[in-house]
Amino acid sequence: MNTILSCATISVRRPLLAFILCSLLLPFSLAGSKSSNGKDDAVLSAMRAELERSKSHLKMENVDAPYYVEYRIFDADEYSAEAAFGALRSDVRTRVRFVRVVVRIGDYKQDSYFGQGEGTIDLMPVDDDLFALRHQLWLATDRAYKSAAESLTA
Amino acid sequence: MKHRTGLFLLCLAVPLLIRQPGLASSAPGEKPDALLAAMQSELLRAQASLGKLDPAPYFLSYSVYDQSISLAIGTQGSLLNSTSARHRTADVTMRIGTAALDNSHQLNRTSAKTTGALPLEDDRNAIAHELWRLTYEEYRKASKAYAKVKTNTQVQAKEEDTSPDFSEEKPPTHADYQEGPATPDQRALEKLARDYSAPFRKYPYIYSSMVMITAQKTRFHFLSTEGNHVVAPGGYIRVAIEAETRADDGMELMRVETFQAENLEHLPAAADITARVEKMATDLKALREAPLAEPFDGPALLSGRASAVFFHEVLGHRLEGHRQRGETEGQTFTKKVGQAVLPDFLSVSDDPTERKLNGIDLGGWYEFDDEGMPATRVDVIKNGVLQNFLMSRMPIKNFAHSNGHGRSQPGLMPTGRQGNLIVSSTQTVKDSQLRQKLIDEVKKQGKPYGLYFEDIQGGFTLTQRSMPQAFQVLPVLVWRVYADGRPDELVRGIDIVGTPLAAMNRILLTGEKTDVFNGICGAESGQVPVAAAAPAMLFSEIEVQKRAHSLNRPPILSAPSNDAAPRGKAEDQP
Repeated sequence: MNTILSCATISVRRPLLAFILCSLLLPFSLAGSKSSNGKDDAVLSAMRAELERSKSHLKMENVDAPYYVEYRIFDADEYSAEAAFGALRSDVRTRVRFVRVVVRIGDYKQDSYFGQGEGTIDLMPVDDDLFALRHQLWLATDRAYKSAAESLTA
Repeated sequence: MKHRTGLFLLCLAVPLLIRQPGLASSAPGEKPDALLAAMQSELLRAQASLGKLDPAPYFLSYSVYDQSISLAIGTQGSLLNSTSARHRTADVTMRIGTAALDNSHQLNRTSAKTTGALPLEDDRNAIAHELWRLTYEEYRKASKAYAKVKTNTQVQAKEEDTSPDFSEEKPPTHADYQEGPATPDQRALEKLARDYSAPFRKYPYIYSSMVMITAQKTRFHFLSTEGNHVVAPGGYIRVAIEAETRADDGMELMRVETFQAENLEHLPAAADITARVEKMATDLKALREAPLAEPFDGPALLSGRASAVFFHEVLGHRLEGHRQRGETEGQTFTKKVGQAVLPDFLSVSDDPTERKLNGIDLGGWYEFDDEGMPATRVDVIKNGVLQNFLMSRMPIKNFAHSNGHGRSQPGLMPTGRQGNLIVSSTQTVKDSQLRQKLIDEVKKQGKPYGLYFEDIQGGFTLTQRSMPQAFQVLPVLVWRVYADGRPDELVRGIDIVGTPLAAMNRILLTGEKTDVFNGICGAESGQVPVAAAAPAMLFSEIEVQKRAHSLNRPPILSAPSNDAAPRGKAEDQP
C-alpha cells in the first residue's frame, strides 16, 4: 500500500480539510516497505527510521512494548483571507507540518487507546531535513508511549 | 439619577460644539489618512446619534492597531513554522454615566470595550460599517453595565477610595506618520530561525529546543470625543531561544535567552547570539549533573539581569496604579507614599521615553500609551521613599491624573503598567568585588555558603487580598559560593520566595553596571513588551524553596542523531 506522505495545499480557511487530505496511516506492516515514489522523501525516510527504531527498541521496564505505532504527518501551506463589504479583513499565510503519533500497548482485543493514550500531536519541521524530522518524531513517540502506558494502567 | 443624566448630555455637547475634530485629510502638515478620516466621521455620527439616547455616553474613543506580524520558528536547524499576517484591530471604548461614576466601575471595567477586526484596505465605507457595528455592540454592553453599576452602588457599602472612574485630561493631538523600519523579509527571519537553532544539533542531551523570531510593526491610531487624535508608530523584533533537558530524577531543566530590539540591525551580532546559544547548551549539561539544592535562608547575590526581573515582579507590579484601588487588591504600598519602602541608596523610575540604555534597545519604549496619553518618566521611588504610582486614566486617591502608563494589548482595557523600570543606586562597589562582599556577609552570618543567582527566567507575584502577598521568582542558574574557599558549585531545583516588604529591605549594596532584561509581561490588561534594568545586588537574606517538578524520566531511546550525522552549517538547508 503506497500512500501520500506529504502534500502541500492552498486552502482558504480549511485547515481541517488539509488535515484530512494529508493524513497518513503507517502501521508496522508498512515499515519496511519501499514507496515507489518515496526514495528522496525525507519525511517518509524519517518516519520509517523512527518507526523501525521504536518497533525494535522502545520498551520500559515492567511495561509492554507497543504492538502498534502510527505516524500521520500533514503538511500545509495555507493562505487564509477573509473579506467583508468588499474589503479584505484578514490576510494570513502560514507553512506548517503536524505529526500525530499513536502508540498502542496491549493487543488488538484490548489496548491503551483511550484518554491520554489516544496519541500525541506536535509540530514537525517543514524542511526536508532528516536529522530534525527524526528528532521531533523521536520525542513525540516517547511521549505517546509513556501516555499509552499511563492510560493502560489508569 | 436624573441629575446625572442631565450632566452626561452637557458633557457630550461640549466636545460636539468646541472640540469637533477636523477631517484628517484637511489637517495641515498631515498626509491623507483614509483610516483616520473614516474613524473621525463615524465617531462624530455615533456621538450625535447616541447622544440622543438615555443613557448617553459621555466618552467614546476608537483605537486602531494596524499590525504586520511575521513569525518564524526553528528547531534543530530546521524551520518549524513560518507565518506572516496583517491585522487591523479596532477597540471601541465607551463610557456611560459621568467621570465620577460610569459603566467601567470596579469589576465592570471590561464593559467599556468592544473589539473587532477592521478591513485592511483603506475603504472608508467598509471601515465605517465595522466601526458602526462595534459601536452599537459596545453601547448595548456599556448601557447594561451602567444600570448594574448604579444598582451596586446603592446596595454595597461605601468604597474606601471614592476617586472618579475616569481622569480629566487634556490629551494632545499627535500625528507621526514616519515609517518604522521595514518588516524584515520572511526568508531572512526563516534563515535566522534555522541558524540559531542549528547549534543544538551537536548536543543530543538537549531534547527540546526552539528559536522563535517575531517581528511586529504597528501603526496606532487613536481618536476620542475629547477632540484629540494620535497616530504613532511602533514595532519590535524579538528572538526567543529555549532549550530543555531533563535530569535523571525527571526535573525539567530549561534555559531561555531573549533578544529584543526596535529592528533587525539593532539586535546583537549573529556571532554573539550563537555564542549565547552555545552557553545555553553548556549550562544545561552542567545543570543535569548539578546536585539538588536544599531550602535555604541566607546571603545572596543577584546578577543585574536577575535583580531587574526581581524588581519587576516583586516591586513593579505593586506600583501599578489600579492595584491601589481595587477592594480585592493587597494594596502593599497604597498608604506608603512619602515613606521609605527601599533602602535610601536605591531609586526607581519607570521611563517609557527611553529608547536605549547602555547601547541596548529598551523593550518598554513607546511615545503614547493605549489611552492616547503621552508617555512620561515617573520617579516612583526616590532615595528609598515612595513618590508615585504608574497611572492610567483610572484615578486613585491623591493621584488624579494619568502619567502615560495606561497600557494593554488590543482588545483589553488599559491599566497602569510598567514600561522601562530602571533601578539606580548610590551605594555601589565595583562589580569585580561583589563576590567577595557576598563571602564577607556569609562569614559574618556564620553560614557555610551564600547563593549567587546568575540568571532568572521569570516569576510571578500574588497581589489579590485573598492570597498571601507573596512572590515566587524562578532562577535558572544558581551557584553556592562557599565561605571556606571551595570552588563555587552549581545547584538546581530551587525558587526564590518571599514577601515584598521584607525582601526589599534586605538589600545591602549594589554593583555599578546596569543590566537590561527585555521581556513580555502579562497581567489583567494583556501582554505588553517591557524592560527592567538594574545593577547586581547583594541581599543579606533570600529564602529559597524546593521547586516542584515532574517525575517523568528522560526519553527511553537515545536521540536519533547517531544515525543521522549533524550537518555543519544551517546554510546547507535547501
